[in-house]
Amino acid sequence: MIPQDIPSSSSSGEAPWAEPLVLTISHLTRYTYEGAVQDSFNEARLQPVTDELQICRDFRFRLDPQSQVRDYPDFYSNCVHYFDVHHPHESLEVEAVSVVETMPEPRGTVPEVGTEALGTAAIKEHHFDFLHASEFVSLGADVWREAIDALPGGLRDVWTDSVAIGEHIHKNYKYTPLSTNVNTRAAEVIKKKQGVCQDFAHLMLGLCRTHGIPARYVSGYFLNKHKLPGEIEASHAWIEVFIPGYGWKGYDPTHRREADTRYVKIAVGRDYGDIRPVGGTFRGKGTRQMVVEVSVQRIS
Amino acid sequence: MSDLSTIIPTAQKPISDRRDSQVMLSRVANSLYWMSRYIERAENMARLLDVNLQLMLDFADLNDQQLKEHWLPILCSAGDEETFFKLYDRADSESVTEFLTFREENPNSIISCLFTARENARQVRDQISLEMFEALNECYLFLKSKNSREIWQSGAHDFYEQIKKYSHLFQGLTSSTFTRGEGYEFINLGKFLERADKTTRILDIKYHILLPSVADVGGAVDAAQWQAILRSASALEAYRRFHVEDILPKKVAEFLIFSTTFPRSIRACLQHLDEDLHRLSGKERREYRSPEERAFGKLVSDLNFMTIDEIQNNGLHEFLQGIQTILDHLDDHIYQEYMYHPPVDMQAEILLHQQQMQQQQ
Repeated sequence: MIPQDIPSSSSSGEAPWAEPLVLTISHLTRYTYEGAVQDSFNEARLQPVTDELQICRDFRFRLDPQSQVRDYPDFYSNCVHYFDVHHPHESLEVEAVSVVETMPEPRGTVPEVGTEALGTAAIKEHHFDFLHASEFVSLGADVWREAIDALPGGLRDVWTDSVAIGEHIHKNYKYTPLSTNVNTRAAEVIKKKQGVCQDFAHLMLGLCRTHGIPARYVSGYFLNKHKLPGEIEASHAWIEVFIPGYGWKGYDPTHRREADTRYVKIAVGRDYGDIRPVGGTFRGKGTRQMVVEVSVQRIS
Repeated sequence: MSDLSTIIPTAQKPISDRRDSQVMLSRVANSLYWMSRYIERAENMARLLDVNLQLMLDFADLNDQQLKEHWLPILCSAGDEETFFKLYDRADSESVTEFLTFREENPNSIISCLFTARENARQVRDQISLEMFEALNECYLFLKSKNSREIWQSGAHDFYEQIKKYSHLFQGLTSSTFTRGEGYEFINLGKFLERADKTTRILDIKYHILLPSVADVGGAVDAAQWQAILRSASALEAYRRFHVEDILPKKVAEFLIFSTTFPRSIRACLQHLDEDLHRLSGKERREYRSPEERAFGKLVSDLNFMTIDEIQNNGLHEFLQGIQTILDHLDDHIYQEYMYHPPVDMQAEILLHQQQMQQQQ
């Protein structure tokens, strides 16, 4: 939906924003059903995390029809809001409004780390989830072939080569809204050579994992400066790779840059399936329409 | 929390106190209603046939055409002349009475009505008294036996007498053994709606019977026919109490339409219906909530102000047809309101869906 924000492939990656920002984000999801539905059980992962790079200053969660909301941390410590609506209802509205302060990277430049550091049993065990195939990211022959193409010389330095993989995706894949859907898998993206951020993130996860780099999916938002008035935004997705001795580091293959102060992280997981922003089940005839409205504004 | 009353559970309310315990199934309501309607229908048919067979005795030398003219209106009033002519060529005393009594192909024959009434009673066997069911079952066994046809052939009067007695027995048992409640109201709705409808039809028959000649108007034949109408509605003695002298067409019509004291008059039946309808809906008297109920309510109050002269000027036949239409619509309304249960979309009720997922872009 934001093609004008795609940097041209000729320029080298721009310098990351180091300026601290305060952002206000509103994310509205509205389901309209075919007739009345009932017994709706849902989970929402919409609350931004608080860590060294960002502080979630305010978070408000609104539901219509109203229902009691509880929250719990999931396996990856993401904050999950849980709610159910039992009585018949014809639409469901979930809105999250948050204020987030983002800060520049405090850890300094990323050190050079060779492959041997990744091969330790401790890392393999600790990051098992992020080294193996998951629902959206298969590690079959087609992904392997693409991984070799992206990194013909093989893995030498974790971060430099991760960036190289990202640049390979950015160069060879076209950002095309509506060319894929929410269920598109990484292997399919390789065939199509196009997609949106969710697809590029999945693809990059596949390529990184093939090379033995622990990589995880990040769901969140980012401040889009070149937005048209009234343009509808969606939530964003990028990835993080694990660098031994440094930690997780975010990279956005869609925009060919590391995640900086413009990025707001909500949740991490193996892929989209782990951390869909709103998910659940209900009984009824089905969904007639889903409307998603996201707005990210800088307030200071 | 120290207050004991918050810890000790309160005693369970007796089930009979709860409003839900009074609620009945639509299916039960439907069965009670039709059980009652069919019995009333069979009784009226028995009376009508009995009286007309006797009437025929006064006109011994009728030709085929005249016989047809006599019986056709009766067939028409039951609304079954099409089925009849598929089964018979000639409309004479024998064929018409057989068709209206024993033919199961005819859904309104006495045998069909009583079989259906019993079937409905069987479906709500647990809701009605043993005596009610036994009376109906006895009637059913009587009709199924060869004996019944023999009785009918040797003397139709005895046969129809028997049918009427079963109906009277059943209605009497209902009145003395059935619990008062919603179920009783449905039984009454069925009974009075059918009775009112049948009275309009009995009265309407005279409109169709052609007199042998114009000179016969007001003559002996005419009088005999009007008397037959009264007897068909079990109204002869009641009529005589009010009009001792002659049987005058206008007086007969007035009596069968307007009488407040004779329990088979249209007005009396409609007033019973009105009461039961309000008891059922729980609305105030004179409050009607659907177009069908409003049309019915208007008819009830019209009967309080109309005169027989007005009806005759506008046409008795049209007036009676109007009532039949209103009752038809009311029957429809009762069905829609209390008995019909829309088919459940099982798929929609059961099918589990995933909440649609939003793509991250």
